[in-house]
Amino acid sequence: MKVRQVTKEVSVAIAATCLALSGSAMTAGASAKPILIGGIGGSTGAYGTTGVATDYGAELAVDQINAQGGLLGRRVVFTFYNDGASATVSAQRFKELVSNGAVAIDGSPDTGPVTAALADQYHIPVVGVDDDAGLTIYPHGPSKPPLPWVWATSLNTFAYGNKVAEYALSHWNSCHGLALLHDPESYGLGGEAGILQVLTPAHKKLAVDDAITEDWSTGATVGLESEITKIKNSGARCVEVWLTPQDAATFMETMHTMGDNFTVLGNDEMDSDPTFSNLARKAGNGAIAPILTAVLHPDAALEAFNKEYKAKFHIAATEFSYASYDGIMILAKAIKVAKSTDATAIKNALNNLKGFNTLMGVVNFSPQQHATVTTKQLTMVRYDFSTNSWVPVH
Amino acid sequence: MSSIVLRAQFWVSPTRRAWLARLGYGSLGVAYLAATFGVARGSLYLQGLVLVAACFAICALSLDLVAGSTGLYSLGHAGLFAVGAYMTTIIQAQMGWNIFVLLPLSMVAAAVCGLGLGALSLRVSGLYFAILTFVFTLVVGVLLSDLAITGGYAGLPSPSFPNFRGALSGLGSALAWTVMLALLVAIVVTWSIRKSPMHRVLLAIRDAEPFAEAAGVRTRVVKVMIFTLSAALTGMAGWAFAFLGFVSPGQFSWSVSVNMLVMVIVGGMNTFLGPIIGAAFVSMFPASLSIDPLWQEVVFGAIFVVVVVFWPRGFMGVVSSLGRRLAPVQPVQALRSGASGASGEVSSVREESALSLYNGKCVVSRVGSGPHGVAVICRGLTFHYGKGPAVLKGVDLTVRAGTIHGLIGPNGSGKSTLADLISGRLRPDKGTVEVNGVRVEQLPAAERARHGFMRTFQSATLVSELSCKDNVAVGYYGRVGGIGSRSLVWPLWPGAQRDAELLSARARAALASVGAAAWTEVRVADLPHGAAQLTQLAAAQVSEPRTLILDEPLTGLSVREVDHVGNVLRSLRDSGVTIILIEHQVRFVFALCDEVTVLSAGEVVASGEASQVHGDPRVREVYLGV
Amino acid sequence: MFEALVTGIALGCIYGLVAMGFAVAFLVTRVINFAQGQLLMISVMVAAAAASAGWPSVVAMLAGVACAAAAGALTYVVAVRPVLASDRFSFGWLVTTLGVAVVMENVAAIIWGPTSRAFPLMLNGTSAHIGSATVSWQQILAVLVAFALLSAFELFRRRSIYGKVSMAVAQDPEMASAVGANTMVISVSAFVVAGLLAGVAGVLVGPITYANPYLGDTYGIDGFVALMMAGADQPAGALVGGVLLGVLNNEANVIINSQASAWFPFVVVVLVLLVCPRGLFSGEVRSWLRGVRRSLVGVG
Repeated sequence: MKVRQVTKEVSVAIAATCLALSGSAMTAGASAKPILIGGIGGSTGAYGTTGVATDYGAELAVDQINAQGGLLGRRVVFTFYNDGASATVSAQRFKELVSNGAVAIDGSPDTGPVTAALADQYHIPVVGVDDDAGLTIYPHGPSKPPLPWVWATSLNTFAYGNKVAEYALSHWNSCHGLALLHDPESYGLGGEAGILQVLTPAHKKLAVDDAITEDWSTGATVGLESEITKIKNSGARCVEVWLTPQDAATFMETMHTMGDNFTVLGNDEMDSDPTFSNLARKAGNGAIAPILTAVLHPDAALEAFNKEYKAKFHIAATEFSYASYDGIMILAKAIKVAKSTDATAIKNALNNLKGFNTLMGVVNFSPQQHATVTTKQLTMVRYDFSTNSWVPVH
Repeated sequence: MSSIVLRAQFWVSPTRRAWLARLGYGSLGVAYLAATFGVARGSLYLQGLVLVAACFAICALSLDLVAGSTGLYSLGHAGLFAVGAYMTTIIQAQMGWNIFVLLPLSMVAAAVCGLGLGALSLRVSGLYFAILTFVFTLVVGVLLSDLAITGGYAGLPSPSFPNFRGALSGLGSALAWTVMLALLVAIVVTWSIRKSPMHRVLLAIRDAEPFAEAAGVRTRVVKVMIFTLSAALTGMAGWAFAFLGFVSPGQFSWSVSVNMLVMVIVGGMNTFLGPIIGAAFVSMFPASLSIDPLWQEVVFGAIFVVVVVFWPRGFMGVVSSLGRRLAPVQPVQALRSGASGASGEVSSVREESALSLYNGKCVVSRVGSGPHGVAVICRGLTFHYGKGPAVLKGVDLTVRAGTIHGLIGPNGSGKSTLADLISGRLRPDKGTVEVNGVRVEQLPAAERARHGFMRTFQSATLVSELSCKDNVAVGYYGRVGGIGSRSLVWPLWPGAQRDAELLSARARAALASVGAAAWTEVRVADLPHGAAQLTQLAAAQVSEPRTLILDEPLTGLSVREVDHVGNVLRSLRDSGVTIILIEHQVRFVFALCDEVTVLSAGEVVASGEASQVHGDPRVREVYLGV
Repeated sequence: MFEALVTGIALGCIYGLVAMGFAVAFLVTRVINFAQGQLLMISVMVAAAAASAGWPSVVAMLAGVACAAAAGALTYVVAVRPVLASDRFSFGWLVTTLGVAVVMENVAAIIWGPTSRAFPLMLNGTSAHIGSATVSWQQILAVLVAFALLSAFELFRRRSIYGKVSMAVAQDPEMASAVGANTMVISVSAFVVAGLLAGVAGVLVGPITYANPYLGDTYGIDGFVALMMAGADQPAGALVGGVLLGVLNNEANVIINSQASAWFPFVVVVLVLLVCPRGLFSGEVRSWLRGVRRSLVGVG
C-alpha cells in the first residue's frame, strides 16, 4: 500500500538522524566523576521514620568519609529516593540509580524484596538496611545460602527470633509454653523461622502459631480478643507478639481489659523507637524484647554518633540510622580493600570481610553470612513504665 | 488534527484531503518510532519512567473505550492488569515457556475475566456495575496476597526479557521496543474504533440505549464484546508490565483501579489523547519530582481537584478551550425547516437502495406477507409494571400491511406501553405479538429491528454530542455487515471508506426526506425539540423498515412541519411500509390514518376504519367523559 | 466464638457508621465521597492532638467530631458542588473527592507526623462480661452510640420536614429546587452528617487504633465494602452491613484460620452482589421479600 511506502522511506531518514543524535548523547559526561552510592527507602507513610533514618544515617557516613579524603581519592555522593513503600517506584528509582552509575544501593527498609531481586538482576551490591535482613536475603530459610548480592545490616529477624526463643526456653517452667502471633509477610515469617530454629532442636513446639493480617500503613489491627482467648485456652503464659508496635500496644491493652496477664515478648520494633511505649503506656509495663547491646550500653563511638546526628538533623538517631551508617562504612571498607568500584571486586571484598568494627558490633561476613546482627549482640530488656525506659532482664 | 482537516476541505479536493490525512498519520507514526528509538537507547531511568507510563497508557486507553465511549465505568481494570502480569510471571517461573507465547495467553486470560465482567454489566449498570468490578479487583488482590504461588505479599521478581543480538543491538533495549510497540497497537486499535461508525454506536449505547436497541444494535453483545476487547488490551499491558522489575499485590490494588479511572477522567474522557496524557501525568508525577514527598502528594491531590473542577473535560478540555480562544468556531447558521417535496426525496432513497453497492450481508429478513396481508397482530396482551395493577388488559390489535394505523387514547391508557411491547422494549405477561408473520414477543428489541421493524420514542433520546447525520447513521448500522469486527482496523480496511460514505449518504438522504436537511451536520445538543423528533424519524426509516411505530412524532413541531410529516408518512405508506402512529393530535390522526384503534385504561374501546371509529360514540365518551 | 461475635458486632458498628456516612451522602447527592475515611481520620487526629495539648478528653472528642463535620462540608463545597454544577451526571467527583482525600491525608501527616500517636483511653480499659465473652465498655459504648445515631437518623428522615425535603432533593434536585428547596444547604448538610458519623466512629475506635494519618484508607475501604453489601443509598442498611462485615471478619479468623479475615468477607460480598447486585437492603430485595411474604400468607 502506498501509505506503507511513504512511511518506510521517511522513517529510515528519521531513524538515521536519531541514531546520530542519541549516539552523541550517550557519550556525554565521561570525565572523572565522584563515586555515587544510592539510597532507597520509604520516607513517607506510617513507617516514614525508617526511611528517613536510612537516609540520614547514610548521609552522616558519607560526610565523614568525604571529610577524610573520600574513597580512592574520589568524592563520595549519596542520593536518596523515597519509594513510598511502592514496589513500582522502588524498581524505577533502582534503575535510575544504576543508570547514573551507582556502585551500590543502601535500602530499602520497605521494599526489601524488590531491591534484593534487582541486586541479583543487575549485579549491583545492596548493602545496609534491606527490610528485615532475614527472609528477604535468606529466602529459603536461615540454614540455606543467602542471595549473593545483598549484605544487610538491618535488624536480622532470625537473630531476634533466636534470642526470644532462647529466653522462652530458659523460662519454660514459668511459661508453660510459647504462643506466637506474627504478621504474614517476610518480617513475621522471619521471626517465626528464627524462633523455630531454636525451639525445634530442643524438641519444643509453639502452643499457638498464628499469622495475623495487619494493616501495614496504619499498623492498627483490631479483633485480637479471639486470639487472646485462644492463647489462654492453650495454657501458654508467654506470648511472642511479632507485630507492629501499634498492634503490640493494642494487644497488651486488650489483654489487660480481658483480665489476662501473659508475659508478652516483642521484636526489634518494640524497643527501637518510642512508638510502642508512647502508645501502650501503663499497659505496656513488663513487655520484654531483645535489643542491641550496643544500644543499651552505648560506647564512646555510639555516643559520638548520636551527638553528631542530633546536631546535624535535629532529631534523635534510631537503630535504623546505625544500620544505615554501618552499611555505608562496610561498603567503604570493601571498596578500599578491593581498591576498585567494580561490582564483582566489591562483592569479593565484602564476602571476605572479617573482624570489622561497626556501631552495632563486630562484623564477619562470608559467602554464607550476609547479615550482621547475631544473638551474641542482643540483650533482653523489659519495659518499665515508671521510668519510661527499657531495663535489662536477668 | 480533525479541525485542520476540516478547514482544508474548503480548498482541497476529497482525494487530496485523504492523502494529506494519510501523510499526517504517516509522519505521526514515524515520529513515534523515532521517540521509541530515543527511549530504547536512553538511560535506564528514562526507560523506567516511560515504559511504566506506557503500560498505564494502554490500560487508560482500554478503560476509556468502555467508560468514556460506552458508559461502563469499570473499577476492575487493575484486576485485569494483574491477571496479565501475574500469569506471565508465574507461568514463566514455573514452566519456563517462551515469553512471547505468554502474550496471547495473558490476553486470553484477561479477556475471559473481561467476558465475565461484561456479562455482569448486562445485569446492572452505572454505579452498581462499578461496584461489582471493584469487588473483582479486591478479590484478585486477596488471591495475589494469600497464595503461595503468587509469592504472597512480597511478590515475584520479573522474568527476564531477551536482548537484541548482533546487528540489532544498536537499536537499544528490546524491552523498550516491545512495550512501545504494544502501546502503538493499543493506540491503533482505539483510534480505529474511534474513527469507525462503531464509535457512534458505542456512544449511542452510552447515551441513548433504547434508541440504539430500537435501531437494531445488539447492545448486549456489543457491551460484552467491547469489555472483552478492553480486557484483552489491559492483559497485554499486564504482560508488558511484568518485565519492568517486580510484580507485587500492592501494585494492583483497588487504589490502582481508581487511579486508572482518574487517569482517564483527568486526561479527558472519550478523547483520543486524553487517556495517554492522563496516564503519563499520574504515573510519572510521583517518580519525577523531588520536593518533600508529603508536599508532593498534597500538590498531586490538589491538581486532581483543580483540573476537574475548572476543566470538567480534563486536560484535553484545557487544550480545547485554549484552541477555541485561538480559532473561534463559526456560529450555527439560522435554522429553517425545509418544506421540500417529500415524495421526490423518498423515491430517490428507494432508487438508491436499489443501486446500493455494498457487499455486506443483507440482515433484514424478507419474510413477510403481501401488501394486503397483515403486518402486526397482537393477541391478548396483558402487562403489569412490577406488582402494580395491569396497564394493558387483554389487548388485541390487528394492523394491516401497507396502512397507517392510528393508536389514540387519553393519557395513561397504555399507548406507549403497547408500543414498547410491540417493539420489544418490554415483554408481555400474557399474549403474543406477531410481526410480518413471525412471533416476536420474546425477541429482544434489536432482533425485531433486524426483522424490518423500527420505532421512534416519545422523548427523543439521541446522542447529544453527535450530529444529526451521525445519529441517523446508527439506524443504518445493522444493514452494513461487519462494522463491529472491522472497527479494530477500520481506517486501514479497504472497503471501510466506501461503507462509511454509504452510511453517510443514506443518513443524509433520510434527513432530507423528512425535511431536516438543514440540520444534517448540527449537533443534537443544539437542536430544537421538533428537529430532534424529525431526526428520530429519519433514523427510524433510514434502513427501510417494513413496519414503523411512531410514538408521538409531532411533539414540538410547527404546523408546516406537521403537514410535511403527514406527507412523508403518506409516501412511506404508498411504498408499502406499515405505520403504527401514536398521537395526541386527534384531527391529524383521523385525517391521515386508514385505521384507528382507541385505547382507554388498558383496553381497546374501538378499532376499525378511521371514519367509523371517528363517529363511534364510545370514543367521544372516552375522551370527553360524556 | 461467641467472643468473636460480640467483639465483631462492636467493630462492625464502627464500619457501619462509616458506611452510613457514605450512604447519607450518596442518598442525597448521588456521589460516593472518596474522602469519607479521611473524615474519620481527621476526627481521630484532632481529638488526639487536643487531648495531648491538655484539653479534657470529652472536649477533645467533641472537637474532633466537629472538625470532621466541617471537613465534610468543605469536601462538598470544594470537590463536589462544582463538578455537579457543570454536569449533573458527570463522574468527575470520583477524581475530585479522591484528590481531597489525598490532600487531607498528607496535610495531616505533615502537621502531626506519620507515626501513630496516643489516643485518650476513654472506656477502653474497663471490661464487662456478656455470657462467656469479655468486652470493654468502649465496645459496648460503640454499639449503643451507633444504634442511637441510627434511630435518630431514621426518625429525622421520616418525621421532620427537613428530612423529607432531603429525600425530595435526592429524587430530583431540579424539581425540588423548583418548589423552593435550597439544594445547596440540603446537600452540604448531608455531607456534614456524613462527617459527623465518621467523626463519631473515629473517636469510638481511636483508643484501639491510636491516631495515625493513614487510618482513612483502611476504614474507608471497610466502610465501602459494608456499603456495597447493604446498598449504596440505604443508611440504615449500611449500619447493618457494617455489623455484618465486622462479625464476618472476626468469625472468619476464629473458625477458619487467623488470616481468613483477609479473604472470607470478600467471598461473602461477591456472593451477595451476584444475587442482589444492588445490595441486600435495596428496593429490589425488599419487593422480592414482600412477594415472598405475600405468597406465604396466600398459601397459609
